[in-house]
Amino acid sequence: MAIDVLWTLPTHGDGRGGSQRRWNRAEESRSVRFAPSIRDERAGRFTYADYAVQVARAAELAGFGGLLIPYDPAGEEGWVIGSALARETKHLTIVPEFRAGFASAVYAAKLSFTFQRFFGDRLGWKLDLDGPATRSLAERLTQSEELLSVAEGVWGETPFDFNGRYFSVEGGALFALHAGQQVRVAARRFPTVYAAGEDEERLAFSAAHADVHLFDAVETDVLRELVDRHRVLADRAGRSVRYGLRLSIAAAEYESEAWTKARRLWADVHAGDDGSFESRRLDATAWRGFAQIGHVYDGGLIGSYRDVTERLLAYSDLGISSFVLDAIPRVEEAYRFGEAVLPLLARRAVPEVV
Amino acid sequence: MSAYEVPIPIYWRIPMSGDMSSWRNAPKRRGDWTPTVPGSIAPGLRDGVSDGTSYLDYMIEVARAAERSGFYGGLLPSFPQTDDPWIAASAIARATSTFRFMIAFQPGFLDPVEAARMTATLQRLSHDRVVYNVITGGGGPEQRWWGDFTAHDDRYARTSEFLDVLKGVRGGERFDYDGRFYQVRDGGLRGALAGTAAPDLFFSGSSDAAIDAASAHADYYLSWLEHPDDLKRKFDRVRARAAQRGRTARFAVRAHVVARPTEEEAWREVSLGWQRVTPQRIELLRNRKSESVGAARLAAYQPENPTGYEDLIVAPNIWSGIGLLGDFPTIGIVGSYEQVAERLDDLVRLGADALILAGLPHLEEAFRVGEEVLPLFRGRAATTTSSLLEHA
Repeated sequence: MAIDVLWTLPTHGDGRGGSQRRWNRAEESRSVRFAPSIRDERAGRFTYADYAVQVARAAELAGFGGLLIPYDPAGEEGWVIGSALARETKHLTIVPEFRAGFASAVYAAKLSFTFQRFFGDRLGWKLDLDGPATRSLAERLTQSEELLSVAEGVWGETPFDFNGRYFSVEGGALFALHAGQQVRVAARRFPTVYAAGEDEERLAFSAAHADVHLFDAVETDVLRELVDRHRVLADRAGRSVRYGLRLSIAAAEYESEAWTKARRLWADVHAGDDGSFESRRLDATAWRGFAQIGHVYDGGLIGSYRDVTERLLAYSDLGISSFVLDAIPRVEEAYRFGEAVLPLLARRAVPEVV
Repeated sequence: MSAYEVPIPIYWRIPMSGDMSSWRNAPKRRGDWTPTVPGSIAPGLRDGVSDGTSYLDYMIEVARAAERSGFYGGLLPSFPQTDDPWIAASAIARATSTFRFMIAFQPGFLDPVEAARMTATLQRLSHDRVVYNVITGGGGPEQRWWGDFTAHDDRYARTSEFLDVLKGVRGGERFDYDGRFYQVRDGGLRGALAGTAAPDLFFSGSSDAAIDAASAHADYYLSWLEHPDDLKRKFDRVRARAAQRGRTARFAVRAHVVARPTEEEAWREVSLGWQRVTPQRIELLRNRKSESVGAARLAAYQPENPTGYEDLIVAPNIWSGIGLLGDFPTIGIVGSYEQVAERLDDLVRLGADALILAGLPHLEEAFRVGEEVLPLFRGRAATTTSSLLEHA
């Protein structure tokens, strides 16, 4: 099995500093002003989506397999911006993250089927199990489970009935014309389902329902134990689940440059507090605290491209076959990864889980 | 600008479930809704190999044709057999620059806060080109295929609540709501999504419950074309209900048009299409079970056993058979370019503030209607002159 690497879309701006206040790659960025002679200050036709497209194209050109769009209540909505990005790319898989209650289950299937038709089966589903706060975790998991049952049920060719707590349907079928009669449009692949989380409930949920489980544990020992626990649960459910890891990365050609970059980002936010930077170091390469310096995932790696690549390969030895990566600024770093890391990963195949 | 000068936006329909090559030829050869045969324009495969295109590419061409030939935007309808308008509009936004997308959706199918977020992102990426067409659903088994078991009048109550929430969260201020269908705590949109422009809201529905909900929420009350007398009565009802709420109603009318250089050519087109309308087809289309009040009103314009297409002419240039040619729940306008423009002016005289037009095939007819009919349309200027209807 080849290693699949996804890049992450920034949903509310991007830049090269650790403090988001200094970012200026979003039209709502007001804190950074250039002199009018340098940047035309008239209200332009540029929108944040134009930059998002640039990130998606960078990921595609650099050789990433897909782009995750995190669920961000204060950022761009994933289905809409994801559709725009799909239109602007050729083969990148688009993985919006969403909550099971965002739409009725049939409508979620419908949005997805249309996406697959328009963009050639390039949709993935990342379920957000962390919200809304008004629902308990158990309720969210039940709703997500029902969403998958109904969406997969109506995806097929026979009318589907379901009577659940959150979703019900009678004679449900996509592209139904009359009762019991569907338009025979070409079949489409159901999106790959990603889930995440490291507590018992979320592990059990994804063992029973997800195609890929994403972990966040950057410490090798912790990750090994989580993968083993999940495998037991998946075996019990009679399923085979692939494993992924979400990581933020500060990398450069030389290790010292990477640490300089990370320390500089930290200083943008916590000037004069070097001690707490050092205390976040987990081992030679792993570090936790990226969420405070403009990244999406808190845990990650700092090092040379070679160090980072070797660490990713070590993770793959544990059975990790998907990486979801984030590094700022996203366009530049997508290219750097495409040049320095992806070619080395591509040579490695992950052993199949027996 | 005085009310007199407010322009009449004219939208064109984007075909969301395939397109016919003409009014005469029934199969939807554009898209993959019917089995492909030589001559089908069904993107996706070339010599059996995926070519990287899809039906979306055709939809985008229709949108570009409408944009180029003078339309304000387009309606993206939503039915069980169509592709989805949100996904389509998000892609069309990247391929057009002034074209507005009127997105049809049923409130019950989306969480209102998430719908507000989708709207805000689409407003941002398109420079405020989103328009809503809120539909509450025809009911019957079709509603249950969608997973909606709410009763007809309750659905309108839910629509009202949905729109309360949608509007309430947009500005970004703290928003709490405790309704029968929706509860929201601290739901105002955040970050860059807060405070985007409110889309114009077109609202359809002919029942009392619909008109009541429309009077509270609609920017435009949207009706299919009906006989001018019926349309006038309907507008009066809506106007009266809105006035009770202290609001001024605005109106939009949807019409399919067959416009040709001469009236004779237009009716010839219709008569060729009529040749394939069998009694069985009429029966089949009538028997669709639905709770829709609007659909029942339209069926009433058709005689039980028509002997020819002429039997379905209900007023000058108004033909009730158009739905039978392509399975649309509507009556249509048939005539010369001048006549079609004059009938559209009649609609303005009746009170229409916006129009949504369509013709087959949608791509070529967008150019034709845009180039030949729209320049003859006088819009509000027509209201100062008398209508043919007043003499009819």
